[in-house]
This record gives sequence, structure tokens and C-alpha cells, in this order.
Amino acid sequence: MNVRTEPYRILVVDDSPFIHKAVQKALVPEGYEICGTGRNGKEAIAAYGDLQPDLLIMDITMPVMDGITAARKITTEFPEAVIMLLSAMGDLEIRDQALESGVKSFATKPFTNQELVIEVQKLLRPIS
Amino acid sequence: MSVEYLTQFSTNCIEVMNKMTGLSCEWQEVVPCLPAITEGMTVVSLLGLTGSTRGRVVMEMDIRVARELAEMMNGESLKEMDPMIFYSLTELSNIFSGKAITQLNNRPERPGLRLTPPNVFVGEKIQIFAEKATLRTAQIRWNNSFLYIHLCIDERS
Amino acid sequence: MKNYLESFTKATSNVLSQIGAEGKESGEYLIPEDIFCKHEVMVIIGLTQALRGSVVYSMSPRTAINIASTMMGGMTIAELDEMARSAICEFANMSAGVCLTTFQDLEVDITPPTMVIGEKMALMLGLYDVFITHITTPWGEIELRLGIEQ
Repeated sequence: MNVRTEPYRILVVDDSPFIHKAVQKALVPEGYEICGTGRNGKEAIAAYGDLQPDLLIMDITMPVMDGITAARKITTEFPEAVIMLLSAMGDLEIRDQALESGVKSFATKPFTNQELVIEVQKLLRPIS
Repeated sequence: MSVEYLTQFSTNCIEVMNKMTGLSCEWQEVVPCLPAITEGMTVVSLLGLTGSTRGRVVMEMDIRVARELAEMMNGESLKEMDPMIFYSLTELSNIFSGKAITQLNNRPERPGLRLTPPNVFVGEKIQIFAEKATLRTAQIRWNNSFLYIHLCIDERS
Repeated sequence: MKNYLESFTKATSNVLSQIGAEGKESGEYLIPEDIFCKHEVMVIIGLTQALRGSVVYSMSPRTAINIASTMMGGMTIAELDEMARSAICEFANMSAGVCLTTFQDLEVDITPPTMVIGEKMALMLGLYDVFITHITTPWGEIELRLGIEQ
């Protein structure tokens, strides 16, 4: 059985610098590595291709290209991609669209550090 | 109608503030007055509202409170006029307003409300004028600090 | 985004000439160097639906008073009182409204105008790139600032 020893690499894409920082503060102390950040869906697609992270945490509402559109494009090219979408609005319709775009998880802001860590741990097996 | 709207924005604001900072806040409607803070440097986050109701949602506080909130949200000290203060308040107003709008839009009458992104202003002697609008003001308090949420609804809505 | 700002600028020049004033567009659409504002008087109009963001018209109190006076048929106005503020808000509303008529394939809603007046002001229009441009009038400059999601 392969036991993972290296930190999971997480790409964070959100138009808010506050969210970049908040996610970093929640996850880095838990042993995750933030391997890159972006501000919109177009940057998410480019960065995903370059970095091939273990997890992409991405906002839904962003300029240039929204998160749902970006998620669809990423999961088409990388079907194994693990993506968590974030939104400030928890409308059922947006949630359904988000899940249909191939993402694995959908979370509503605001989240506490603990809540985010729990959601990430559901997606990424703990490191031995 | 605007009482229900003010209630939604205010209760969502204190819930989001609690989640993002751990603060326990209370809110109450106060005599409408915009701006409510007339001295010193103030920070205002202004969001526009369209749909069946048109108007603005305004969050107003002094710079000391803005910095205090941003430091709690970020879990670290921030220098005066650090851009992260304004990014944090942008995020706060985006989240609580978005939640309020979602709840209002899920009501049976489906008002179809939309919000603009927040515009954050910082300055001295800030005056805000909304022509032909009904104004309601809520004060949100915690410890010795407070901020205001103003709802200005166009009278033609 | 520059195209949209150009449309808002042309619409503003259009409205200026409708009220009998001449405006000279700078023709430059730049990213502001910082978030500080040159002028004390601002009118913000929010945009939703196909274009989501805000357009801000800013000017000095003197420029605002003169535009308001021209809109009111040359009436003497000593200060930016309620009537003058209403006139400037209407000026911004008309400018934005005229601009929207040129966006034939876009469904865009605008918020009512909000006037903000202050000193030593800084402004963050959302979290995305913002562009500014200027129109020179006989009474001073109007700055247009546009920040939208694309």
C-alpha cells in the first residue's frame, strides 16, 4: 500500500485576496501546501494545467470566467481533477450546477477554519 | 417591505460576523441617518440593488472598527490603511448581502433581486446622498464597537 | 473593458452637449495608479445582469455646481445644495442610461445614482481591474471610473 508522505498541493482561485489568505491560514498549519493562487476561471485553467494540484479550491463568482465554467473545462481535460467550489450564495440552483460541472464538493462562505479543514479532509486522504 | 429587508441584511451580517470573527453582536433599528458617523475617517461599503426593488445597501463604520474587524477576520495585526482591511470588508459585505438576497429571493413572491459588487470608500467627512429613497438604519453592536447598515430603497420601487 | 468605458465616456459627452456644454475626451483609458481619488464629489451607478460592477463619475464641487447650474438654465447656485445634487445625480443617470441604449445585445440593469462627497477619499471598485478616463469641460474635469466583471 502506498503511503503518502508529501504534503497535498492545493491551488486556490478566488478574486478576493482575503480568501487566498484565509484558505492559506486554515490549511497550511494542517500540513497542506498552497502551490498557487489565481483570480479568475481563466487563470484557474492555466494554473491547473501547469501545477496539476491535488485539489483546486475555487470561487464560483469571479470575473473573466466563473468557477462553474472553469470547473467544467478542467474536468473535461482532467477527469480525475478534485475540485471544491466556494460560493457566498447557497441557492439550490447554483449548487446543482456546481455539482453537475464535475466538482467533488461545494461549500458556502463564510466557513470557519475547522469547517474548511473538515471538507478538505473528506476529499484528500490524511497523510501518514 | 423595507423592514423585512433590513432585518434580513442585519441578521445575516451578525451571523456572518460571528462566523468570521467569533464576535457575538446584536442589532437594532435606529433613527435613520446617513451618514451616521460624522467625525474622523470612515469606511463605507456600498452595494447597489436591482430587481423588483432598487436601491442601495450601505455598511458604514469608522476606520478603527474597520481595522479591528479586519484583524479579527485575518487573525493578525494590520497596519493602518493596509489594503487587506478593505479586501476583508469587501468580502464581509459581499457574503452577508449575498446571503440576505438569496433568502429574500427564495420567498414566494420571488423578487428577483440582484446585487452589484461592493464599492468601498474611505475618507473624511463622507456624506452620502440617495435621492428619493426611503432610508432605514440598523446599528450592529459588540463590546464597545458598532457599525451601521443602511438600506436606501428607491421610492419608485 | 476599455470598450465599455469608451461607451460610457461617449454617452457622457453626448449628454454634456445636450445640456449645452462641450466636453473634450482625453481618449486615454488607463488603470489608476492608486486607489486615491482626485475629486470630492462622486456619483456611483451600479450595474447588474450582463455587466456586473459600477461606473463612477467624479468631479470637484465647483465643476458639479457649474454643471448643475447649466442643467437648470443658468440659475445661480452658490453651493451643492439638494437641487444641485439632484441635478448631478440626474446627469450621471442620463449618461449611464444613454450608454446602455448602445449595448444592443446586452441586458443590463442600473441602480439609482448615489452621490458620495468626502475629503481625502480612496475608492475600491470591487476586486477586479478598474479603468479611468477624463473629460475636460469648461468648468473642470469629469473623471469616469469603471470596474466590471467580464
